Amino acid sequence: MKNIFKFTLPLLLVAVMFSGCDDILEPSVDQAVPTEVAVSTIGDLQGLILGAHDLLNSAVLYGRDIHVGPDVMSDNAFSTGSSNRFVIQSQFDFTTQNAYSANTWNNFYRVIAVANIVINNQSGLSGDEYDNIVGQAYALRALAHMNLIKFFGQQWVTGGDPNLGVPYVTTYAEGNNYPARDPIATVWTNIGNDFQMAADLMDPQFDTNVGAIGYYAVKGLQSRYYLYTGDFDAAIAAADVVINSGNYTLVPAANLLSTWASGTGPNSLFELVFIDTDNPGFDNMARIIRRSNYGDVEATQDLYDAYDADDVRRDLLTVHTDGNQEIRMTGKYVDDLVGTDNIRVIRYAEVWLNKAEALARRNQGGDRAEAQSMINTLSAARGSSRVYADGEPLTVLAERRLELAFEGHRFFDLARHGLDIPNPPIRAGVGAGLRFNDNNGALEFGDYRFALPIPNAEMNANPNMVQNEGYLN
Amino acid sequence: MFKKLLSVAFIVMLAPLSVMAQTGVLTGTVTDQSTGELLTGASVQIVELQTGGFVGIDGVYRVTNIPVGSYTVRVSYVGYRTESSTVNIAAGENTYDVQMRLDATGLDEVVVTGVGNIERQAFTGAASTVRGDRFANVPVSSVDQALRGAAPGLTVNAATGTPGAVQQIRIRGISSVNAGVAPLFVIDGVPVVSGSNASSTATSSFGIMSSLNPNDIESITVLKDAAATAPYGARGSNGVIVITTKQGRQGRTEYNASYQRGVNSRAVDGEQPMDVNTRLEIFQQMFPNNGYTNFAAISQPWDGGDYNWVEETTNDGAVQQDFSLSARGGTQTTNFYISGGAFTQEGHTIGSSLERMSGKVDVTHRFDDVVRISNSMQGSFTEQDGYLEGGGFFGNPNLAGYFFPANINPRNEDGTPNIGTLGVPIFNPLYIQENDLNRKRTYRFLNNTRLELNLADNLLVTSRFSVDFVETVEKYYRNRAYGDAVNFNGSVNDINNRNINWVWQNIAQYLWNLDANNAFTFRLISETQKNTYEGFSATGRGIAADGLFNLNTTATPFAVGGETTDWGIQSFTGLVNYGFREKLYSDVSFRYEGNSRFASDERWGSFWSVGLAYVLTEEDFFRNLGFLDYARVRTSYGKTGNASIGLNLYQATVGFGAYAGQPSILNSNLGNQALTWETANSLDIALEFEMFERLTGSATVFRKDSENLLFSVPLSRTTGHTAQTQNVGELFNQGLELELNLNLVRSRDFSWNVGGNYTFVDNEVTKLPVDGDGNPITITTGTRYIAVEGYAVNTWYMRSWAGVDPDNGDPLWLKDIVDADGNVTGQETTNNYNEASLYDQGAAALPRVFGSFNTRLDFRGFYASATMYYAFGYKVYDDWAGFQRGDGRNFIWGQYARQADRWQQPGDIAENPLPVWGGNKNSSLGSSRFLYDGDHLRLQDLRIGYNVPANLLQGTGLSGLNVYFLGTNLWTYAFDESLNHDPAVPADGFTALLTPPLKSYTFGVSLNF
Repeated sequence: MKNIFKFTLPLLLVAVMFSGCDDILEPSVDQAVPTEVAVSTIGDLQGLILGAHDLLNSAVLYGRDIHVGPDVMSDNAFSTGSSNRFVIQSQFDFTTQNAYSANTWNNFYRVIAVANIVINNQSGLSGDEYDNIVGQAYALRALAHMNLIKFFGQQWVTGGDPNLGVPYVTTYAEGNNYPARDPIATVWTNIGNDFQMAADLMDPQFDTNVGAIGYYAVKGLQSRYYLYTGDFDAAIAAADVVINSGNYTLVPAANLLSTWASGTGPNSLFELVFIDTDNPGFDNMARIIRRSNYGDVEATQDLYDAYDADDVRRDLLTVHTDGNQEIRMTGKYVDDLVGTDNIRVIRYAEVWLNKAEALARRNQGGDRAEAQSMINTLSAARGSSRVYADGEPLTVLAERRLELAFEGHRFFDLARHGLDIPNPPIRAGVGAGLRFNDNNGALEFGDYRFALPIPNAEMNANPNMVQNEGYLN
Repeated sequence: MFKKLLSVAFIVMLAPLSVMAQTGVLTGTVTDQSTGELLTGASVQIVELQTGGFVGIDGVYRVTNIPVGSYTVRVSYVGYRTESSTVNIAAGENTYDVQMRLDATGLDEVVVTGVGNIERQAFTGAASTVRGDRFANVPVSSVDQALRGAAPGLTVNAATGTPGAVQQIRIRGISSVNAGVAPLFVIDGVPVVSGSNASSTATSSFGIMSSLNPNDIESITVLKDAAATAPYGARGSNGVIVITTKQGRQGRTEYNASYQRGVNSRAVDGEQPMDVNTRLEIFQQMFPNNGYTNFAAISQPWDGGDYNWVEETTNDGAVQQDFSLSARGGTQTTNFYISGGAFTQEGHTIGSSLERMSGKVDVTHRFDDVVRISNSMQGSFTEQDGYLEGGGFFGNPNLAGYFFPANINPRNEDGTPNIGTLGVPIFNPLYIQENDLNRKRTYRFLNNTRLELNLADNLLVTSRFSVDFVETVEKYYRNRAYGDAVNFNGSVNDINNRNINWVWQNIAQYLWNLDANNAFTFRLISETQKNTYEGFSATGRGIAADGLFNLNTTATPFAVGGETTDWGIQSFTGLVNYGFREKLYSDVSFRYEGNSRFASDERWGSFWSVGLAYVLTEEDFFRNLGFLDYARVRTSYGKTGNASIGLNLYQATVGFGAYAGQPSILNSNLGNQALTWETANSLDIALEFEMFERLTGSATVFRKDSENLLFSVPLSRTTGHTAQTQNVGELFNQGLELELNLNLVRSRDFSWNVGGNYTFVDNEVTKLPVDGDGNPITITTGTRYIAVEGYAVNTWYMRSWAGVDPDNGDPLWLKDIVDADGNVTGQETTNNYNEASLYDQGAAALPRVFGSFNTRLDFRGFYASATMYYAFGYKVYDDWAGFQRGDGRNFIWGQYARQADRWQQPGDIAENPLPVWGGNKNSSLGSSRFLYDGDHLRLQDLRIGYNVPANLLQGTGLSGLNVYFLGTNLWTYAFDESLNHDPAVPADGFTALLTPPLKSYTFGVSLNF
C-alpha cells in the first residue's frame, strides 16, 4: 500500500506538471470595462456626460486653476506666493514646462475625448433624450475647444501666425494621433458649429438640473462665443433666447450675498457641482482665495476701488484690517474647509452683459442707448448709486469687471477688446505681492504672453505641433 | 491496465538501486586549517554515490553503508574552499580527516539558483553569492540594504533612510525605460512579491522585504546573466535575487542567542538652514531691489531668537536594537530550524520607527530513501511609524526643517510645540508627529511546502507549493486640533491591502552519465503563479475625542474605495547541464512562458540560453605554470524577458468616477492588443582564477541588449491620453566586473585579507519610439530627465547654469549661438531663462563606476574588518532647492545658509544672484545650478570583534561567544565640494524631502550553546 502511494503520486505529479490551466492567465478587469462594452445604453451615455463634467470639476480646470487664473493674469487679482501657487500667472512667467499650461491643455482634451466617445457612439439609440445627450456632448466639446483657443491661440499676439489655433479634435481612438494646429478661424468656426449643433439637438425640457449643461446654458455660451467672433447679431439673438425665456432674473441687491453663499440660485444657467466627497482637499477654490494656509490669490486695491460705496458687490470683498490688510474675494467662494462651493460656468448676469456688449460694439441705431440702459439696470440692481453716462464698449467692460470679477473672465475680456493688461497698485497695506514686469508698467496688448506656451510634453510627442511665439524651449 | 503500467514503472524505477554485499563506514573530523576550529555542519559527500553526511557538534562526521571501492569525497562548508580527494573505502571503519581553508572569493561554493544547487565550477552563468554573516546582526531594517557593495554589478539605493523603506536594486544597469527595473526576488526557490504593498505614496516608503529577519538568511545569490537567470528567463532581464533561508541540519541542537543595540544619526549633515541675522539682512535688501519702498521689516513672527528647525525635526540619538534566538539540529530523518527575532529601529526624523517580530520554523523529514517532505514557515509582523515623506506635504518634518525660517520659534515658553501664528502656511511637525499617526503594518506569512521524491539514484522529482500572504494595514489619523484635518474636526483613513501570491513548481531532475567522462543533468520545470490583490480604503471625519483613531469613533463616513486585481504566470522550462570530466561544462536552457499582462495571442514568449565553461587548469599547460592554482573561463548568451508593467494595459477600457454624487464614466486606457514581452539578449564572458594559493579573482565583461521595450510612448494629448504602452525602443548595458582578493598573511594566529570589487556599467538608449514623421520622440520626465538616442537612461538634461553676472547680479545660463542655417556655432550667456538652451549634463542618475574595498584582520579570535564603498560618474539633483535658494522668490520660507553668499554690488563674484523680492529672473527654476556630482567614498562598515576561543569557554556551557562593535557609514567623502546633501540618494537621482542615509554605532553579542 505504501509503495503504491509512493509511486502513484510522482506519476500523477509528472502528469499534471506539464498540463496548463489557461484561466490562470486570464486577468479579471474589475475596476474598468472594455470601451465597446461601456457605451451601449442611455445610462452609459449619461455616465459619460457626467464623466466630462467630472473632468471639468478638476482643480486644474474649473475647480480652480482656469477659473481664477485669468483674474490673476489681470488687474483684478495677484498672487502673494504664500504657498507658491499662481505666482507664474501673476508674474506672467510662463515656460513650456509650467504645470498650468500642461494641465489646461491635457485636461480639456480629455474632456473632448469623452465628448467624442458620446458623439461617435455606435449604440444605435435614438429619441429626444438621446438627442439631448449627444447635444450636451457637442456643447462640452465646443466649450473645451473655446477654452483651449482662448489660452493657446495666437489671436492676441502681435505677429502671431493666424494658422496657430489649436487642433480641433472630433474623433476618439481613431484618426490622426499627431494632429497639427488648425487655423484660428477654423477653430472658431468649428466651435460655433458645435454650439449650434448642440442647440439644435437639445431641448429645454431636459434642463432639470443646473449642475449639467442644458439648452439655456448653450444659448448663454453662444452669446459669449459670438462676442469673440464679432458676430453681434448672433450674440444678441442667443442672449435674447435666455432673457426672454423668463426663467432667469437679475438677483436684487438684498439677495446677492446669500445667492452666492447658498449654492444654486435663480441667476445661474450652468454650474459645476461640488460636494464634500469630491475631496479636492486643499485644492479648492475658496482656499486659494480666502485667508488660509494657501490664500495666495488676493484681490487688488484697484478692483476694490472700482466699486461704488453702495454697491453690494463690494461687500463680496473682505478687507482684512489686521496684518497685511489684504482684500479677499470671500463672497463668491465661501467654503474653504471642504470646498463645496459650486463653480458658476455661466450666469444670467453674464448673458445680460454679453448682450449689452454686443449692442455697444454693433453700434447701430439705438444700440448704445440700449446698452447704457442695460448696464444701468444691472448696476442699480446691485445697489450701486453709479449711473453710467454712455453705452460705449469700454463702459460696458467696466461694469462687466465689477459683476464678473473672480469668475475667470477678466484677462480674456481685456484681450478681446485689444487692451493692455494694466498693472495697478495691488495692495494699499504693507508687504508686497508678486507681479509681472518688475515695476509698474502694463503688459502691452500683443505681447507673446497673451498666449500660453504649448506644453513641452505635447511638443515632444507630436511632430506636427508648432510652438507659440516667444517660447523657445 | 493501469495497474500493469504502475508495476512496470515500479520495476523501472527500482532497477538503478543495485545492492552491494560489502560496505564500509567513512568517518573523520573537519577543522579550519589556520585556527583548528571544528567546522560543525560541514558537508561530506561521496560524489559517485550522491550520499553523504554532516559534521556534528563534536566535529565528527560519519557516512555509513558505503560499498567497498574508491570514491571522490568532497567536503564543503560555507565560506571555505571545497576539498576533494579520492578515498579508498574498505570494509569496516575508514578514517579521513580534512583541514579546510577560508575562501574569500567563493569560487568553490555551491551556486543556489533556486531550482537546484550547482557546483560553482560547473555553473556557466554569472552569479555572486553573499553569505549570511553579512546580514546577521547588522543594523539594517531591510536585508537587501546590506547588498550594497557586497557584490559587483548591483547598485542599491534606499527609497529613503526611514526604517523599512524599499531598497531600489539595479543589477547591471537599467534594462528598461518604462517597464519595471527591479530584480525578481526568490525565496527558497519560489518567486515572491517585493517592492511595496502599501497604498499611500504620500507617507514613508515601506518595503515588503523589511518583513524578513536577516538572521534567518543563510545566503543571498545574485543571478546576473542569461545562463544564471535561465530558470526565471522570462523575468530575468533585471536579474534575480535568490534568498536562501536557514534550514535544519543533522547533529546536536545548536542554540544561538544574539543581541545588538546601536544609535543612529545622519551620515552627512546636509544643507544647513540660514541663521536669523542673515535672513533679516537679505530681507531688508531685496525689497528695494524690486522697486518697492513700502514694506514691513518682517511680516512674520519673531521673538528675537534664532531657531534651527533641522535640529528640531531630527533625532540624533535614534536607537535600534535586535534580539534573536534560534535552534538548529536534527536526526538522520528529521532536521529543524526554529527562530524568533525582535527588531526595533528609530528613524532619524522625529516620530519615525520600525518594529519587527518574526518567527520561522523549518522542518524536513525523510520518510525513507525516496520520500522527503519539508515545510518552511515564516511569519512576521512589521510596523512602521512613518510620516508624510513622499512630497511637499505641510506635515512633512523634513520639509519643515528647511521651510521654517529661523525667526519662528518652534516651541512655546513652556516647551510645548508652538501651534500659534507661524507666519508660513505649514504645520509645526513637533505637534503633528506627536499627535498624528502614519502607521503601516505588514502581516506576512510565507509558507513553502516541498515534497522530494528520490525516485532513483539519478532521478529526483520535487514539487513545491508556496503561499506568500502579505497583508498591509495602513492607518492615517489626523488630529482634530491642528494640521491637515482641523477643518473637518480630524479624520481617520484606514487602508487594507491583501496580496496573496501562490506558486506551484514541479521540477524533475535526471542525472545521466554516458560514461566516466560525460555527465548530463536534465531538468524540467513547470511553474504556475497566481497573484491576487484585494484592497479597500475608508475615511471617516469628525473625531469624537483626541486619540480615538478608529473609524467607529468618527462622526461622518466620508469616502470609501476598493479594488481587486490579479495576474498569473505559467511557464515550462527545460535545462540541460553537460560536464566533460571536470574540465568542460555547458548549459542549455529553454523556457516558454505566458503572462496575463498580454492579450491571449501575444501572451506566450520563448526564452533560451547557452553557457560554456572551461577549466584551464585541467590542462597540463596551465597546471605546469606553477603559480596558477585554478583558472576557468566561462561564457553565456541568451534571451530573457521582462513583463513588469501595469495590469490590463492591453485592453481599451473606460474607468469610473463620480460627479455630483452620481457615477460617471471616463476614458481610462487606450489599449494595445499587440503588447508583448520586452526581451533582452545578454552576453557574458568571464575569467576566474586563483594563484599562489593567495590571490583569487575574477574578471567579467557583459553586454545586455534590451529590445521591444515596453515603452510608455507619449501621445499627443489631443487624443485624450498621455501615453500608450507599446513594444518599441532599444537600449543596452555593457560593462566590466572585477573581483580580487589577496590573502596577505596566513598563519595559525594571524591572517590578513584585502580585497575589492569594481563595476563599470555603460548604459545607452539606442532606439526610441518614433513620431508620425519617423523622428525619435524625446522622452522627458518633468524638466530634467530624458531618454535620448545615444545617452543613458535618466541622463540629466537641463539648462546649464553659468553663474552670476558680476556686473549686475543677474542669473546667467548658457544658450547656443545659432547661425542663419540653424547650425550651432558656439555658446553665450543669457539672463533670460526662456532663451537658455538645454544641455546634456554629462551624467545620469546611477553611478557608472562603483564597488568596494574590503579588508579583514584576524588575530587569535580578535578580528577587524572594513568595507569602503565607492561610486563615481553620476549626478544628483536638489529637487527642492528652488525654494531654499529662491534669491528672493519663496523668501517667506527658510533658506539654505549658503544663500548668504550673494551678489550685492558690481564686481562681486558670488555663488548666488542678487536677491529680489519675488525672484530674480527665474533664477530658482530648474537648471544645473542645483545639480551636483555624486562621486563619493563611504566607510560603509567597520567591524571589530572577538570570538572567544573554545578552550576558554570550557565548562561555561557555551560553545561560542562573540562580541563586536559595528560602525555603519562612519565616514563619507563627497568629491563635489558644493554638494552639501548626502550623495547617496534614491535611484531617480533626486535629493528630496526624505531621510538621508544613517550613520550608526552598534554593539552586539552573540552566544552559541
